[in-house]
Amino acid sequence: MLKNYVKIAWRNLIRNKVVSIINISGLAIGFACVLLIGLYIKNELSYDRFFNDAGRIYRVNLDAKMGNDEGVIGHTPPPAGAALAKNFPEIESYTRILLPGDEILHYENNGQKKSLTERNLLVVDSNFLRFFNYPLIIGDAATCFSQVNSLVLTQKAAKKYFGNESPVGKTLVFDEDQTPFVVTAVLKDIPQQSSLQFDMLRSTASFRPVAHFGWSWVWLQMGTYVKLKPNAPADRASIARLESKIPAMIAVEAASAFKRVGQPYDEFKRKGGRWDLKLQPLADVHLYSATIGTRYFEQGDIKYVYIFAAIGLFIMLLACVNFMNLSTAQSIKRSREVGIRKVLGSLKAQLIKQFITEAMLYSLLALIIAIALVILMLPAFNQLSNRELTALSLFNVKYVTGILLFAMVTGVFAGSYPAFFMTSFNPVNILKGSNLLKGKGSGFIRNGLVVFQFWVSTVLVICTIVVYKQLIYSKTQDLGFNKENIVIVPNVGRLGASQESLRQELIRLPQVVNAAISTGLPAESSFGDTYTPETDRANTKNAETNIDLSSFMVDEAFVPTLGLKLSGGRVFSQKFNDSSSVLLNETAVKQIGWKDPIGKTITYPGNNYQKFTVIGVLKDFNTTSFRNSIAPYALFYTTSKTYNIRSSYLTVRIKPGNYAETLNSIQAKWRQFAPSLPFDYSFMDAEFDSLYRSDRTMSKVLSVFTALSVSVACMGMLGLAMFTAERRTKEIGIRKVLGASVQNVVTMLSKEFVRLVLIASLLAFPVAWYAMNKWLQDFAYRTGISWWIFILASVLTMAVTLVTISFQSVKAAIANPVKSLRSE
Amino acid sequence: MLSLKNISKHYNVGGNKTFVLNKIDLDVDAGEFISIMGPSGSGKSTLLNIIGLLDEPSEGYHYFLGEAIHNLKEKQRSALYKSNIGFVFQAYHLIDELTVYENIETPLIYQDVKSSERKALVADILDRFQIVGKKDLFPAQLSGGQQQLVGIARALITKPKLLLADEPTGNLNSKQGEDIMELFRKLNKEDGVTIIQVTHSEKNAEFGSRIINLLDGKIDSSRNI
Repeated sequence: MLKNYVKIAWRNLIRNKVVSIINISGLAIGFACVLLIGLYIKNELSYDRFFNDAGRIYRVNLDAKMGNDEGVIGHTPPPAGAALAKNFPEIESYTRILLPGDEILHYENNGQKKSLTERNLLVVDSNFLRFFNYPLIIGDAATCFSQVNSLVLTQKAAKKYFGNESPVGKTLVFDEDQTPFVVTAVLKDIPQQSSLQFDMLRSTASFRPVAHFGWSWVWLQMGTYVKLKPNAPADRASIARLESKIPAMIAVEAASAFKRVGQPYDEFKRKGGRWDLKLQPLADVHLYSATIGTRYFEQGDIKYVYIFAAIGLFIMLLACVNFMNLSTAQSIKRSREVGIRKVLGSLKAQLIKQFITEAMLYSLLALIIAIALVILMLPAFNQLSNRELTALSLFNVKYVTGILLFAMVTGVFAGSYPAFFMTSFNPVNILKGSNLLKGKGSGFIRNGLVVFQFWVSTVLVICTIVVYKQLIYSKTQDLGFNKENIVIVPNVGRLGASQESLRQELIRLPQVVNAAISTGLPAESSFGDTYTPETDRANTKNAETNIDLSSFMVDEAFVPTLGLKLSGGRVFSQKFNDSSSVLLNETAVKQIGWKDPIGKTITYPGNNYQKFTVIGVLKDFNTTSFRNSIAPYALFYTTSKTYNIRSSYLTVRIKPGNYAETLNSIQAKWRQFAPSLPFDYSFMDAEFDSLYRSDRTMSKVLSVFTALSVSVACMGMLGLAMFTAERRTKEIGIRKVLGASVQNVVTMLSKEFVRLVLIASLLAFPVAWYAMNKWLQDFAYRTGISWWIFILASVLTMAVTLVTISFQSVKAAIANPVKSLRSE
Repeated sequence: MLSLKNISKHYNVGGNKTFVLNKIDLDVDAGEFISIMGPSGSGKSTLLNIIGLLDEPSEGYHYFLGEAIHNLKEKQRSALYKSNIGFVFQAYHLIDELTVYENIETPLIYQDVKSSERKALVADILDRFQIVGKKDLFPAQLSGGQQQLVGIARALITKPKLLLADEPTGNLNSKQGEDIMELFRKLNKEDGVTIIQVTHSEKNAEFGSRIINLLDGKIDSSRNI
């Protein structure tokens, strides 16, 4: 029986090539999307699960409230790990990490002295490689840090520094403190599914700040991980019980540290402060950290997993709808067969089985094509989504069975409607040749299905347009300064006193407009701390006692080089002694509540109550992505030396055009002043662009899936057009005999579809508006959802629809009416 | 073999009942060869479809092989139908996607006959109808007469006790029609198959043993030959 079904299905498939191709390719696209999205999700869910003890490892997060600052961060004070391990017997061990930022390394390769900037250095406790079993190629996890000045490289880093030579025993010198480090081990490259990403490890013992702040419970540069004992209960309730005991522990352990910074823990608590540690399962770190701040690593977001899962399911649904529509469209041809089979003794159930078998066959064929498609598309998808997915991971017994099962279920799902539809025909009527497709009910379902398809497509089209619009907005909106044609050269501080001479030399270059030196830059880094503003006697009510200010220490060329605009007062100048002067932005002034800010002072408790006088107010400028609103900012003059940080930037505004030559001449000057330091540079507009990398990725992936869903929906539309043309053959014939022109008929046939697309659009508008409004809420500065987006989306889908159906309509309209009427 | 009592079939058109069949009483004995005649719209095909269990009467009693059909469930009716009734159509109604062989085989598949047995049965009937050479052809490659031959072979493959034919020669030329009628007579006489055919042709009707004339859904006359 099955053989008979498969045979007839296959012959039908061959006979109706066009429909079969549409049908199978629609399903194949659906499957390909599901498989791709499945791979993506599987990858997202597999982060940090490859460690032997993954289930027992927790990241320690700090849940803090200090003054106006409140939130959870993935960083902890240095003593947190040891305190936890000491106080809670269920904790077996802990390890800590610290991201020191860029380091310049000097080394020798093939007898040549070289230097490079290393961006992926991680400072770790010496048990790090025993705690996390990242696989080693050379060396021993237990002993690789037994010497303090040891380095562990990944294969990638080993190749970068020493090529094909064996790296073990080689020396790398840190420019910072001129200390030589010896490579003791080589790691396999860190898999992408690790939330910790690094190319080089050095121990905390070798990194002075860790020892320096070892006592501090408020220095939050470290990350801490703890591992539970194998037999310790790890369910949510037990972890929550453990967490509930932590505040009492902190009250004891942190008491002296809090006292030392001038704020006893009791007093801190009384003022409404909170300083609490939470344990987050390592497996959750990648996807469930959207609200947990970290400067360390890029984190995924479970939200996108849900969004993509929904898109995948919707596209699959669209493909199923296609199958249903096309199969019922075929039903006129198939109905005779159904009638005969009934007359020959087939039960209804057997016929249903036959059609479902057929659908499953189509679905399996589609699956095979889809797998081929996935393998072909994967490299492009990887590039698009910034992932390293491999189709190989699909080929294990569990997934193959799952996928096959999914294809079968899809077959049953997609085949059931046509099966019930067709087998419900009365054989006597079929064989008499009466028109079976007059039923209004089934037409309603079919139209409903098409409306559903275009509803999904239109929603996706609108979302894509809005996301693009926001990206363009982010790129073109005024930041409060001119980010174009700015070259950033980091680490200029390493030049010491000669950095100013380098700057002067650069300004003299004909291609250079201006150059400035600062400790921070928009889109790069800044320093943040709490300041106390002078109270305004005229306006004491609104004055806040403290204000958190982000700041850069800059020279007098900084404001003109970036193109920041002054709204009052003056900028730094060599004509004055500005070491106790400060420039504030408008947001800072507004937050403080000063009516007349010029001449007012702020005090910095961090540096012996250093006092700064406001000499000017800057118009607001953006320093981060548009997701964040503009923060209160301050610029201090370089001679103030109000704080000491390592970051330093040379900002060069250049003339547009001929960038390569300009960069070459800047590099030549750099070489002159710093022959042993590598020349690194970036463009500020590119740095700003990179703030939106995940948004861009999402918009690209979204647009691909939108295109796919539109094309699948169009295939469905084509099917429905064929169906309608077939159903109305006789009507068209009569109309033509009565004098209708081809154009009349085409219009008549198209009108129905235009109506469906319009209904779909109207239903899509509120949903798309709601979804996008919600998405845009993430941005402090956002584009509007204008009415024209909706119109554009409908016009686009409408145009694609008309093109799709016109072929079929025209074909039906130019057919010879005599033929269609004779067959009655 | 077959007994219809008070069988009516009507449709509601605009609130009025339109009778296609009106209180038909008919008894058919095993071994009869009946021709049903009558003008268009007299209810011939409807009567045949009801006898063949393809259609249900609006009212009345229907007995077939001692079973009260009006009391049976769909499954039982289908089972009874599958093993006892063969149908031949004016338009042949072969499945276009299946070969001659496969078309004939299909009813056996629905009766769960084993593959080896099916092979033997189909080979046998192909031989008997002298269409062995055509077994791998598709219906479209055959003439009308040949297609109808396949249609009859397919109807007979399950060895039905009752063969129903709805204008079996309607689409054939007179020579082909005569051959089919000869075949029917032979089946009736030699194999004892009970045959009921609907026909417009006096000449074809004469092949049978009884002619029933329908008029406006009622039996107008019935005469034995």
